[in-house]
Amino acid sequence: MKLQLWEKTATYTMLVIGSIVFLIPFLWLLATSFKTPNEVAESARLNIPGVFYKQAKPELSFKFTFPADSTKITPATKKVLLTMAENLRLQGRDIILVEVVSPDDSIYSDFLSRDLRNRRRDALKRVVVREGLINENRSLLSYDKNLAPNEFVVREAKNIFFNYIASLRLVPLVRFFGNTLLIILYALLGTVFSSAICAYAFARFKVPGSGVLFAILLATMMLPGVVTLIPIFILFEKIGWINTFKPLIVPAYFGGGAFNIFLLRQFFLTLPKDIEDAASIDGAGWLGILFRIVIPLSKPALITVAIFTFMYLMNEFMTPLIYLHDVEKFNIAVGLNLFRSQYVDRVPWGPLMAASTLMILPMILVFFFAQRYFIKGIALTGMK
Amino acid sequence: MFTKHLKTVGWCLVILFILLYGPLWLIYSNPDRTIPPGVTELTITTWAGSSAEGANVEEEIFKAFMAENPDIIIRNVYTPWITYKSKLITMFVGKTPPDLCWLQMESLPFLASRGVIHDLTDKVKNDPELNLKNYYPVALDICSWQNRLYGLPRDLAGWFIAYNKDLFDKAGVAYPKPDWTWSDFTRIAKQLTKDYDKDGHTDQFGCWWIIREDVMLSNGAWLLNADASQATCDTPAFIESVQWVRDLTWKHHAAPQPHEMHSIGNLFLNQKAAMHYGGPWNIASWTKDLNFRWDIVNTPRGKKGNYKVTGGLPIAISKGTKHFDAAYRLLKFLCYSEKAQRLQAELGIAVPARRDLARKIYEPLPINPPSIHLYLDSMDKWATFPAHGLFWKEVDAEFRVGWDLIMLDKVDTTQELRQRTQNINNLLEKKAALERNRRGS
Amino acid sequence: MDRKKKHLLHFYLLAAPALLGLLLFALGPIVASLAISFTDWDILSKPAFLGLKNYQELLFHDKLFLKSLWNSLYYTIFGVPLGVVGGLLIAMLLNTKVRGIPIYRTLFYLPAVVPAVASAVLWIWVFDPDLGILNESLRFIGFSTTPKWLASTEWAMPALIIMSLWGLGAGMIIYLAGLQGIPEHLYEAAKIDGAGRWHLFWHVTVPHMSPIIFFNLIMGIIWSLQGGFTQAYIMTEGGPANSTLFYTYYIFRKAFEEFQMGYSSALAWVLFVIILVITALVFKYARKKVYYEYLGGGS
Repeated sequence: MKLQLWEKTATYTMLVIGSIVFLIPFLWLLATSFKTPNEVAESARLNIPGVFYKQAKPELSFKFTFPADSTKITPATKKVLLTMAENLRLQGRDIILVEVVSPDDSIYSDFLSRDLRNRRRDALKRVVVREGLINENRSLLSYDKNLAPNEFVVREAKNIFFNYIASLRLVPLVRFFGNTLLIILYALLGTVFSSAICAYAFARFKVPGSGVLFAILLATMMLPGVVTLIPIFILFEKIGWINTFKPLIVPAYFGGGAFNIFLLRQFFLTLPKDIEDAASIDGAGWLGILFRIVIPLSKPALITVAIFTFMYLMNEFMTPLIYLHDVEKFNIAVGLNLFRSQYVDRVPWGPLMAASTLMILPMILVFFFAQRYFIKGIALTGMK
Repeated sequence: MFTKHLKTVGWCLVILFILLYGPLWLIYSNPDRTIPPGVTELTITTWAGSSAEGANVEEEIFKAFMAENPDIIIRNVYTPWITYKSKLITMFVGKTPPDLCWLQMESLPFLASRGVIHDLTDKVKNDPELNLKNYYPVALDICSWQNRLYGLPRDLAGWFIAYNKDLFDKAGVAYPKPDWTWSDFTRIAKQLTKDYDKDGHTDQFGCWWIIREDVMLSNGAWLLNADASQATCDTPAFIESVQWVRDLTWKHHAAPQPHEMHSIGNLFLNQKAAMHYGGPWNIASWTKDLNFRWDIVNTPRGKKGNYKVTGGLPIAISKGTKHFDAAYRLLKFLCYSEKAQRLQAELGIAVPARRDLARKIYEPLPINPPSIHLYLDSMDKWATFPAHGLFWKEVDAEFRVGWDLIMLDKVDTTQELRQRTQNINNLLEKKAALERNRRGS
Repeated sequence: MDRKKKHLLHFYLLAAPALLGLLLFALGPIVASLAISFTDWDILSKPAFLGLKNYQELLFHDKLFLKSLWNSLYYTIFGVPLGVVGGLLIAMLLNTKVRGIPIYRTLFYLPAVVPAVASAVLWIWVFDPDLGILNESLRFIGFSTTPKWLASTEWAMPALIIMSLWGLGAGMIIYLAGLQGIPEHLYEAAKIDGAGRWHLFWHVTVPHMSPIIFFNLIMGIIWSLQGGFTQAYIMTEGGPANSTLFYTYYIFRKAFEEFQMGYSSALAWVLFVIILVITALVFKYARKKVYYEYLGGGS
């Protein structure tokens, strides 16, 4: 259909307004992921984070080589650092937040707060508490792999991605992503295949019992999951699946969930009967019809199921939380909770939002590429 | 022709990747640790795996224990605070309980009454290495149920009031004195409440949040009577304390009304509230982030004196443990040893449960504000949630409905509290009957 | 083998995974929870048989049962129609052939992927009565008094409904997939007959989309009546004054805060029956309205 000018204008207007409305949450997330703790505390508003417009100060960087080959901060190394901090203060620097970087990952990145745990009231303590000089908290920076084990770099951190770096430091995000990918690869495969096959059965074969079975299948979605949580846990405990990925993957191969079967059944029912009849006359069996006709024609629907499953597995929280005991096995949704705390005001919002952004990015990419399949199937457009 | 092959090759690669990824990732990341023979593995459930709660300090504490006890490996089963109880209960009922568990205070009576955690009273009394007198009395309270000890306390955390010295100076108000009263508080809060641009919107509040339980307790009032069998929300002292909070908010507007409690922004950090109810968990980040001079002072005295509610961390040993002795060793290490208490104190979330160590280790921490001694002085007088009993959650939920309505200025305080008292009494009656049934059967 | 027997075999062969899954993973726990609903069970002690007492108590004596059921119905009655219609309209908008449509589609889908941990905070900000973007926008277009949203008993629920609409993207992609299945020639044919846009929508799009609309409606009802848990749990704790005490949140509270698993299961089964009845009614009514191309008419 050709669009007239006014229709085009109206469409664009609605698209742009809609996009803005729907973009705002993401922008807010993105903006917060670049804010310092003080900026977050100051205003939850959506505004441009200071790192983007505040004038950058010349970078300060000091490199130390410590006599001992220990990579831990010893009282001696600490003293050197404190002297340096005191010197910075004497230079009249506003920002004296420094980071200590060591190459073996035993990083006291938040050097200041680490030092604040020190029992002695020392130089830095005076700097911090009495003068109240700390007003920028951009502390974390990636470490330099070229350093020897006994070398430390102390520098003023000014990387704008400080929250992202902090989020990777604070929790093992990479591991969580790896675990999530593992669950997704295998569960997605199972879900798409088995739900397509089962949905085909419910859409095409009207036999005694199929109606009742379908109703039972739908009914499983109607009971709130809270009350089956404990029985399911006991079941998986009995078969030894607790603290493994099995409860998250294996059930996907058994039908892929009532939601997906129902969804695909509805789609299969929108397909015209004539094509299948024609194929049937040509001698194709149900298997041939399923794989040669129904599945190719239902590409958008299968993609929808894949997208839904992908998003569901990315965001799934309660199941992994109950079945997985070790932090090493967490998926990304449970892993994000490592930023949360018993005390709301202790939550590092910046790194949390940075990690959330990192989590959203693959989902956006997957959706962007998957939605290309939302175009008319060739067979349908060409058909008379 | 070429593109056709390319597609086939591409699909083959995808399938290969899918097939190989799982095994390779599992080998690479090795999530299943193996336990060497002769070594005991102890599981402990905590909500401290979270970066915000200093997961690496907890790890350090565990490592210190394992260094002293090479025959024991500790496995930390981390669950976020918000879902901790569900997971813990599920583990108990699934017959896979942890050996030790951190407990949220209100869960202890329930778990103790159901006999799933060890009664440690005798064990502890006969242990020459332990001297219970070293603990704050309130610390033992939070581990007790019906006068028996079901765990050991690790730390305590109660409220104090932090104040912004700059704002006090600017308004020409004297800093609060340690022995101040609730009426002093009202006066000071009113003086510090400002509408600078006169647009009718308050620009600076006297105080952000009020902890209602503190106000009630210091006024000699509480939701329930001593044995938690009756609601006492309609006593004059109780009504007075609720009315005081309501008036502070609505009559004087010295504390923000519910809709003025801004999302994640913090009015105190933002210098838009002169005082703030806080606790030890705030101190480290405030010391680092605050751009103004500040100090702390005790919560004001009421008719009953300086009396306040306490949070704390009891740790218990589950009855399902197969390694009681090892678990008890770990428990003693976590809750009594100077090493663990020191590491924990330096994290700066809570005060050690041991009085002697609180003075020795916690007080001199450089992060602490100048008047931290006032806070520690008052700890001997702290109270645990008095008579919180088995049904605290239900009682609190019922009361909160009334509280919400009062704080939204929708109802009359006295009438509403009378209504809630009646509701809570009905609730308690039902619950008590249920409980009798359970115990009887 | 005759055709009927062959069909029977084919059906059970194809549906086997789902039926096995049902048998292995779903049925046991479901039956267990039904059994628990007739007992008093505090999770850690042995359950005690109560007969129908739990059901009697909640149907006739529990004010919170009615309150939370009403809250969930309210959420459903407003949320589902808005979601079903809104999703379809957005999908049609995103199905037009204009430049940059993949980007628009992605933008419209964005809110559906924001993780719950982050979105709770985000929404508390959006609904902030003074600083929140919603009220700032309302003031910008001229409203002098603005709702206090989550801080008021009247507006907390509408706020959560608005929040659920932001996630329209999920329903939208199902429609978008469905729209691809409508043969273009049907539109051409109708246009030759001189049909207007409204006619095309009503007589071509809607009938062909009816199975998908039906799907979204059914799923909307099933999910909405069980919905609101995360929001209530993380954002409002059911408050202020129980105005966002959703039914599932109440079930959760009974189960894991108050340890009355039996009562909680009874609550869940009552909801199950309510959803079942509503769904069955919709199915029955839709029999005449939903057009299944494959079956060549009503099913």
